[in-house]
Amino acid sequence: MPGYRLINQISMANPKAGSQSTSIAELRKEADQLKIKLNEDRKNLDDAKLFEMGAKPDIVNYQARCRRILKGHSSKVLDLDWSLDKRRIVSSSQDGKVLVWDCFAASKEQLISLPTTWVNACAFAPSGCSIACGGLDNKCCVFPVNACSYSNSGSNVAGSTTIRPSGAVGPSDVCSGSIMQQRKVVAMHTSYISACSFTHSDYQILTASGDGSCALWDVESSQLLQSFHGHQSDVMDAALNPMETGNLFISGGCDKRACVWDMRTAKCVQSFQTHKSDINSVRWFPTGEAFATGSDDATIRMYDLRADREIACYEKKSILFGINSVDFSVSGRIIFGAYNDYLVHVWDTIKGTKINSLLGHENRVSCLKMSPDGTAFCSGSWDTTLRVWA
Amino acid sequence: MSKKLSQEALRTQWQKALEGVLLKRPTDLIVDNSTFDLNDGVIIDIKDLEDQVENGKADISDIAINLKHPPRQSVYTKLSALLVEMQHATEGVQTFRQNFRALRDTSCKVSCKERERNQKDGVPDAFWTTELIRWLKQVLNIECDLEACHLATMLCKTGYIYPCNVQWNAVNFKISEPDGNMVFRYQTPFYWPNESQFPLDQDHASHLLMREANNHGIPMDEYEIMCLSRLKKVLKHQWDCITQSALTQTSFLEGCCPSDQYINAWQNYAFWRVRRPPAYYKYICKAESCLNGPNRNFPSFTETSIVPSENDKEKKTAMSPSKILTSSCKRSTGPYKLQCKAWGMSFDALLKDELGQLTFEKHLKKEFSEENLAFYLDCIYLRSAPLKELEELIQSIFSEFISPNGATPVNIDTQTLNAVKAEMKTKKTRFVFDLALEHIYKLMKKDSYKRFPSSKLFKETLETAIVPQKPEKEKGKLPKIWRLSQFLTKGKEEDPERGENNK
Repeated sequence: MPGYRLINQISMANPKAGSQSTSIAELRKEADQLKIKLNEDRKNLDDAKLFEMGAKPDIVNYQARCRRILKGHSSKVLDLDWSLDKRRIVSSSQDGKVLVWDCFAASKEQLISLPTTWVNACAFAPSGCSIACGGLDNKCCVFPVNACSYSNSGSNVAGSTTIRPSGAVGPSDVCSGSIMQQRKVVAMHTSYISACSFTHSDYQILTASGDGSCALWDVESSQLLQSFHGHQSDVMDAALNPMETGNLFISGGCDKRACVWDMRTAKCVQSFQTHKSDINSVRWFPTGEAFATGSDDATIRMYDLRADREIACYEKKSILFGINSVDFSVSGRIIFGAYNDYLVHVWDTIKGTKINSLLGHENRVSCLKMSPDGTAFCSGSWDTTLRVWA
Repeated sequence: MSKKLSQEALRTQWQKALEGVLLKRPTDLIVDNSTFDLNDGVIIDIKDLEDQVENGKADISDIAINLKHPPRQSVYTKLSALLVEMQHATEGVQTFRQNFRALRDTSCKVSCKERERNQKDGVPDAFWTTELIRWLKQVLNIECDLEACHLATMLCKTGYIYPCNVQWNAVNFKISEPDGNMVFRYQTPFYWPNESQFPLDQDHASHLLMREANNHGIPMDEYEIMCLSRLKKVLKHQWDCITQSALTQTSFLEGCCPSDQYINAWQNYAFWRVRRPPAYYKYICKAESCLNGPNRNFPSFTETSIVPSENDKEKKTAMSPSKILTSSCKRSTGPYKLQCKAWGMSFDALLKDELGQLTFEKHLKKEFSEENLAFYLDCIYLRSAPLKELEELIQSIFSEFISPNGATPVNIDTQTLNAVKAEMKTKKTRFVFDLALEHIYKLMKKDSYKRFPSSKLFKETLETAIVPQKPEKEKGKLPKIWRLSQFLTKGKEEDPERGENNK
């Protein structure tokens, strides 16, 4: 990326102070050298390679079929999230529509039309009673979900049929008027929202934005609790530690960096920069001790917090296209990647081999998420559909 | 005046160089009067740049060229490299000279003389599917035919190669058989996606005009004719200019040899097939209309809604989706076997699971230390509690668990107690109890949890845990739940509206 560097120099170096540009160049050089040295030092601490250690266990066989196709969006699907009841899915699309699905019956439950386009992020609250979404309008809004009949513990889905108003009354008309009144603007950024997620409760939202920051918000009062600055470029994704005791979250952005943040001090405690292009997605390993990132450079990399380094890189010569989203199976043995080449590639975490490629989508796969119990996963694509695989 | 012009020229240069960036993030490129905001913390001030150029410090064309491969296009850089490798004289894909005779059925209008000449030599650099797939598999170590086919399809869809087939459509084009006998050709690098990302309507119009005049054996599609007439309306004010440019290009091409003409026509055709493909499918459901009441066009939706349409009431009673789903997905209140086993192996798994928490609480009650778990859970809630309740919560947790006069004080050492007390006085944050929490967590993990897996309670729970049964398969039929899905998708495919939209 010589171009970017050049421009950085130009924009920083004022014509009045011409000598500064050279000193900046020198400093950059020095920083690069230091980085290389750091990487070498890290390498010296290597004791074993994950893939070598993982050669012993049996090969996992993973076959998945597309079980449901959720059709209804009229534009590219950009993000999706599962409800904790393992049954409902919320998805957002480029034309500003947010849909809540019942993925068992492949039916739609609710539609929310936002006044903005490119709804980049959506998330289900842990209770299943509200959803959050955000996009190009730089806001993250929370909406109530009408069908709150599922038990939020997820332990008994039985007997919870959704009673919707009869079709003749056009439920969307009824709610689209009022839903905008029920809308609650929680977060405001100075650039687009790229990811949002509830923390372990309904009362807080973590957002990542194109202005290069992440922020934690209080839902009720729409107050900023903590903001996290440190990325040099757009933040594309953020994920909270799956452990409830964990105070960490991770983020990845267009500066090719994955950062680990401490929520208490709002400081970046660890950062990794081994990707060769933008990071599009970050996801924790289920135990919360490692995480995986997916990038435009067609690799998925796994970083370990304890080892403080990249421990695995999942790539193949024949895979050229970038990754939009990654997720782990519940055990962590399998990594799913949503790729720009219309495929979902399935990787063996400890062997580093590709197990399977799932063909089905007719355009870029933009988002992918495992269901909370790990029995199925859902992928959304630019071909306007969502698919549930099991 | 000159300054203004240069700014104009500059902007077009920038726009051209940066267009590719737009691919992923719509706000990447904000072009207003004086600044380009790349949103990467890089703001380019035009005036600043102009000064730089005048002082000879920066060369605009350099920057523009450098930005032609911005990092977001790494995939195109890779594909381009692959294509270069592919065209290697000896180790590349084996090509053959494509004969015009093979194209006769596409009603080629080349004069007899030219055709004879071409029949003798043929047009070089064409290749078969078989060869392409073989090469891809060999060079990229692909084992599976399907994967190689898919990559070849992607190469076509991104516009690096194109099939010599009039009917192909960039949207739903697919190479399904590795040994199919389709003929492919290379697209010229000028038309590769990294060089020209967003072709203009004007260019398309000029291309269509040229095709109207001479179609080189590829007859105009219906959609192209429609497109041309639409463009004529939209670009009325520039139409003279467009016709002129089309004429110049045609006259230039007439001077070329026929095989060049032929290739050029195909390349143009393929490029616009990728960039402006015919709208092959309108999305079956518009989300809004779909939710607006029952609509016969959306069988899946009416089927699953609660109100059954009258004519298939019988079907309804037999397989009302909600009924089947709830019955087949019935969950009992008890834990599953695997779930239980996980509790025995990991303390975190136990605490994460609500049923696990309940079981562990029972266990702790027997050990008379259930306040530990209560304190833990309260602290976790406090982490992400609403701001409004914060103060109150901290106070209540403190008075209940920490303060010595509390109802159920937890067992922490005085050092931790003092540290927490000190922090309570200075600042009451969400993390005020973190030290105590860590202590209690470790205590539970090392003390109470150690005894948990061997406890009678856990063994009983494990024994009574449910082993999920596979849904019963009827003879030769899929289980009910999947049969329903088949029924649903079938209904969608037979959608009459879709057929109309296709046109």
